[in-house]
Amino acid sequence: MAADKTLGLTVWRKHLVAASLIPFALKSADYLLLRSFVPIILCLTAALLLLRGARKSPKAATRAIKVWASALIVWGAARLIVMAMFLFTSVSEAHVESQLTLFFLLLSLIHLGLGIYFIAQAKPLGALLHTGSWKASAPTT
Amino acid sequence: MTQRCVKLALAMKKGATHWRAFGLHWQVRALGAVRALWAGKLSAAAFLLLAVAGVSFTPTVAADSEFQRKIIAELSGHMSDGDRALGPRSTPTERAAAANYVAAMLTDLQLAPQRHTYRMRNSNPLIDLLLAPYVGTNIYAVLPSTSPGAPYVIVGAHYDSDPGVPGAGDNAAGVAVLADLAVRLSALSERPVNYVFAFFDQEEDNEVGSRAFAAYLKRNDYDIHSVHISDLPAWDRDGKGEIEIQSPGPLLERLYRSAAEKLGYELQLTQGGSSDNHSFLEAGYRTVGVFGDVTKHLHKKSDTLETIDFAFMASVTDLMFAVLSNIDAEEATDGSR
Repeated sequence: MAADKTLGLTVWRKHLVAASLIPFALKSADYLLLRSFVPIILCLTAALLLLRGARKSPKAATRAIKVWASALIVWGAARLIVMAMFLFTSVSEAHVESQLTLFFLLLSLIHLGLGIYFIAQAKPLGALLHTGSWKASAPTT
Repeated sequence: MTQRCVKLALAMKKGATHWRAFGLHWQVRALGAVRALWAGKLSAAAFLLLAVAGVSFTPTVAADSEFQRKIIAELSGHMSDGDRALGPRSTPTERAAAANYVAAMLTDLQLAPQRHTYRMRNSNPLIDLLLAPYVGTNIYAVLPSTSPGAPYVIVGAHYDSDPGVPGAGDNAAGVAVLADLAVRLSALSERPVNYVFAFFDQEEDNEVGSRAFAAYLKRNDYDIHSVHISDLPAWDRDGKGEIEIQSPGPLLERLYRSAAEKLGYELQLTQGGSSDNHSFLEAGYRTVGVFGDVTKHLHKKSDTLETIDFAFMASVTDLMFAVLSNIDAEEATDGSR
């Protein structure tokens, strides 16, 4: 039973790292249609970094997760700063203001939270990414 | 001619909102009356017979301030038009309502409104990472030339406003100028070019709507003679009556100067691109911005109907009409500006 729970938790966490890429993949596809290539370049870079880390070693995977987590924190924080700037100062632009919804706030907070969580759990997550098994993250000494 | 009269009788039946749409030659009016009587449309026939007799009809040579006032009042929320609550035209919902208003207005003017919906990336690629793309709708209608294969002349104004601002002067007035021009150009028996009346979305957001429209024209390789943009046409800050023409290029400068001289108006020539004309200049089209003055009401809640100078606006409309109705389609076929 305990093993199942661990396994469930393992699968969930493993998928969480991959899932955190999904909004960026969607955004990249959207902007690709508009001939804007920066989102797809950054999204592919992040995905390749994580893949490479996962294949190379637990340490490389941990490092890749830390980089990705930092990017998530920057992204979430930047969106929150934009939101605060438009809500609490005289800066005004209709295109931006129309996007500052509850969904915008929640998505920003979720990604900020994910980034912090990934940083905190970078080592076990790195090991998990590398081996595909949560147990592999346990100290060997 | 017959087709035109049928169209007119139909317009009467539908209750077209603007009498100047019927400012035709007397023969056309008479024929229309006979046709309408034949069809049993008595009210329309009576109206047309009055037109033949010349009762209360003004020739199509001057801007109609009442017509323009109605459009500005409705767009800026000064006056409610049925269930359409307008006013500020900045959020997606507000802009959609304004687009519907403009489309309905074009239908009333016997033109077929088209929707040009676009999606545009942000000005900075890094912003694309944070925000969604621009989404909007330009509304346009084509008034066809009487000569086949004629080029297109774009007459444009933006219909959006700054957030929370009624936007009477910026730029419901521009919409009203275009509506008046549409009526008067429709009444011409000969039109040397195709007129495209384009109402742009999101001018206040880096002229996104007109940039998308210019790209659309390029993509479809339209033969464009020139582009004429109206913005802030109802503000004359110093009361001198000077009309600004911005970056017209030699041909359009000559046309505007000649028309202004005939009408006795003063022009002020400036350079650059401070409105939707910027988008078309960038795209390489022969473009002119026809502007009034910037006043203290710009992008302020005080930008209301009360600030509109209808006499000045009429002079801007008359100037544009004089130029547009006398465009020589052959004059600009060499591609020079």
